[in-house]
Amino acid sequence: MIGRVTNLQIAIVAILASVTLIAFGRGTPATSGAEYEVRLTIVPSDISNLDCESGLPLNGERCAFEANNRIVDDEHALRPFVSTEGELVLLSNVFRAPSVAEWVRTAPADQRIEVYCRVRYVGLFRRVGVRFNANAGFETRTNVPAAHASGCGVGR
Amino acid sequence: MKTSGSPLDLSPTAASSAPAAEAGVRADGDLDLRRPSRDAAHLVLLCGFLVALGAYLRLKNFGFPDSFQFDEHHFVENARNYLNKRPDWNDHPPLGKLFIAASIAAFGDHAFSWRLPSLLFGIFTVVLAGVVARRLFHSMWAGLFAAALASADGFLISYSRAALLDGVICAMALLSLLAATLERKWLVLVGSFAAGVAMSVKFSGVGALAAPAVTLLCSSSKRSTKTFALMALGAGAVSIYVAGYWLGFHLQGTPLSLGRVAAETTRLFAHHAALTEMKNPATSSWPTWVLPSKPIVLGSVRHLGEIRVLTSLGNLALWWASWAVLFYELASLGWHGIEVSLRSESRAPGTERAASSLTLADGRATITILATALGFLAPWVLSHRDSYIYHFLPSYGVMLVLLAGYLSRQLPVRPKTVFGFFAAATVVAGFLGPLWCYLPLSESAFALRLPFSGWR
Repeated sequence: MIGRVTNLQIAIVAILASVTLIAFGRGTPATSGAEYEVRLTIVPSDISNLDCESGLPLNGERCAFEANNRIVDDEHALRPFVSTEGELVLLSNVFRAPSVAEWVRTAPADQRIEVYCRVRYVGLFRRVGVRFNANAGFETRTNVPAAHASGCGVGR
Repeated sequence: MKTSGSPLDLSPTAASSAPAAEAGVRADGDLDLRRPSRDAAHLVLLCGFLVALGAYLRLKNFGFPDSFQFDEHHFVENARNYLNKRPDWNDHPPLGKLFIAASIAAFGDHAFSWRLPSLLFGIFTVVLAGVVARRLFHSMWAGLFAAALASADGFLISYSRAALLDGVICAMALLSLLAATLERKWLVLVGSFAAGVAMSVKFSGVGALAAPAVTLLCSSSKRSTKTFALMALGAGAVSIYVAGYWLGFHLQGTPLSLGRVAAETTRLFAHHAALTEMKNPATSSWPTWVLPSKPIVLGSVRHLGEIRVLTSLGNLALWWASWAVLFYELASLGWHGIEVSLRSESRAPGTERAASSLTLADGRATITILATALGFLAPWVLSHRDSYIYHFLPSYGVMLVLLAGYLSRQLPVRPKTVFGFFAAATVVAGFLGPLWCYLPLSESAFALRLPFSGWR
């Protein structure tokens, strides 16, 4: 049986297997509804400085701004964070977590802490505006993941 | 064992019994690239794919991440120091950092330029592997195989993508092998250049002296000629080493003096000699490099269920095969003796005796390669200095050339096995490839590829 297999067939199978493993064999990195842990650092002023801009809701989650106009209450909106791994991610509900909200109310303005959040992935914004200062304009970013924080705690 | 009539019949018998245009091999059994046969073309296709895949894996996401990975801060920060006339606080000679400094000066201070010298030396390594194997084993197949193996190996790929220094030493190890194929004058010039550059990057680069020195010692020249050539080789290497320091001192605005070079060298040597505790979690002793039990993850970025990784874990098909061939040829050399091996070079390929052992078929080439591989391993075998798997990189590059030579000798008598080996190496490269270029993986796909905690 193996004698009938030509070298060309072996070569093609090996090459196709290699290409397939690289292109499609890497698993699904993130699916809607999947839960992950994210680590962030925040300062108290982040609650008024972090915002995103997009007219498109994503599985019920959306940015506070659309075309520079506020359309959603800040408390429920997605906000941009840079994780401790250095990746940009949009998260909602971080500042509504009781321990985080309490810390923001009481902490000195220049204090920075690490926050651990359990998040539920909601999807990927192909194009979204983000800003890290309320007085700055929105910068466009592409392929930014968004998630809902189901629970957050401060500095373990 | 004769395989005449098999799907990949490249034996001399087949070549001589069929018209050359159909057989695609020359009378000596080597590949004729101008008129490859169908069977030969399929193997060339597979090797060509491995070269192309290696190019893709080196260039994909090159420059990612834009922050330091593994030990890059040592070398990039000190490259910046040279450009800003500040002292170098790193514990290696200046040249490796000067390559990075030149790239930063030319293209700006960002991740692409930090890593560009490594990429260029990595590409040079693939080209050199092909040229060296072709010249050492007098075989186009050996050259093609070596280029394909060097291109599709993750250990070499990962060091082409990081602003680290060991890829430079690997390239110089292969350049020293090339020197060993040249006539005496050029051997001394190219050999001393390769060894000088390697030593100017890390002291362990002194292993690059092995190939030209062994070649000179094994030559049939007069004793006085050999002695003079060996002295010229050493003097040339030391001159390059001093020149590397001179360049570093010049950039720092410090006047050059040989005494200062000697003092710096002594200080660094004493510093390295004292590093013997093996406490760093990334350290690994040289016997574990056979497995390997502790490849280094040079960088990783985790984020919402996906992970991007750059690991120094090699292509395991090539890794284990190259170790097997190294041990086999060392055993063969011990069994037959060096003198027999030196006398029995250039045995015709396609014969059982030629295929049984490289030490009998290409004795001189094999001894040169073994000396180089062992020369680079020697500091870690003979001392208690803290060792890391990247210290094995120059030996590994050289061992891939040995493997290529072995496979080229096996091809006429065991064509199916050789073809199957390259097919397996291709699939393994596809499986591990995402780990060599920061392609995103799910947590489960990552765990499947790196199942052992020591690999993560």
